Amino acid sequence: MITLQDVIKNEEVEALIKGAQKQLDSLGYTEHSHRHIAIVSERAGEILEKLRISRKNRRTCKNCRIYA
Amino acid sequence: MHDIGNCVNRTDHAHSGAILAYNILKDMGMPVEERTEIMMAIGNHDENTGTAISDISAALILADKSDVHRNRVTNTNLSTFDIHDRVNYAVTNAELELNAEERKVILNLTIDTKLCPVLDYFEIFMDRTMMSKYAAKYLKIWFELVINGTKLL
Repeated sequence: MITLQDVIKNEEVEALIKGAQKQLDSLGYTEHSHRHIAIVSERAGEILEKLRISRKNRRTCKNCRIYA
Repeated sequence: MHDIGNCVNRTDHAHSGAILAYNILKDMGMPVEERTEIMMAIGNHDENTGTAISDISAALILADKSDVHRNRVTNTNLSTFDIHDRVNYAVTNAELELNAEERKVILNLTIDTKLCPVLDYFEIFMDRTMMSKYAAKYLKIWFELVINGTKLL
């Protein structure tokens, strides 16, 4: 089972995050890097967990944090 | 990883990012049903082309659009701020409050109106705000927007 830590440590993901921010920096966009990803990941997981979105299970809450 | 598509192009980054994520998760061994769900969520997170189509896509939208804050500004020269820099810079506090009892999510912002009028926030964030509203509706919860203590949505 893939964990959030697996994704965080994935070199390809890291390279794409850095590449994305590099492009956004040259375009003058705001931060879309680790800070933003961490906040979105945490909040997305909390929304499903704390509001007990009844259709979904623990696996979905975990995946929510992974993709965010 | 929802914004990795920005490595390809800012335009349609949700779509390219969705496919990139799908393939990375495939290489990591995630089952096809799960990575498909993630691909759909990432592919629908941008306000220009997407909408909430699943619980996790709705959660991603709400979480993504809630991150507006001074810390997102990378431009260090205030004199060259565009409206996005100015609005984000003016947001000194942003909290996403979850009320399980009342089934609602509240985006509570503090905006320094000496730096930026509240109207500027809506000028650039109206589409995202409405997207958040409909994402909450998909989850059968309420979305509220509070700015400087005043409930606006």
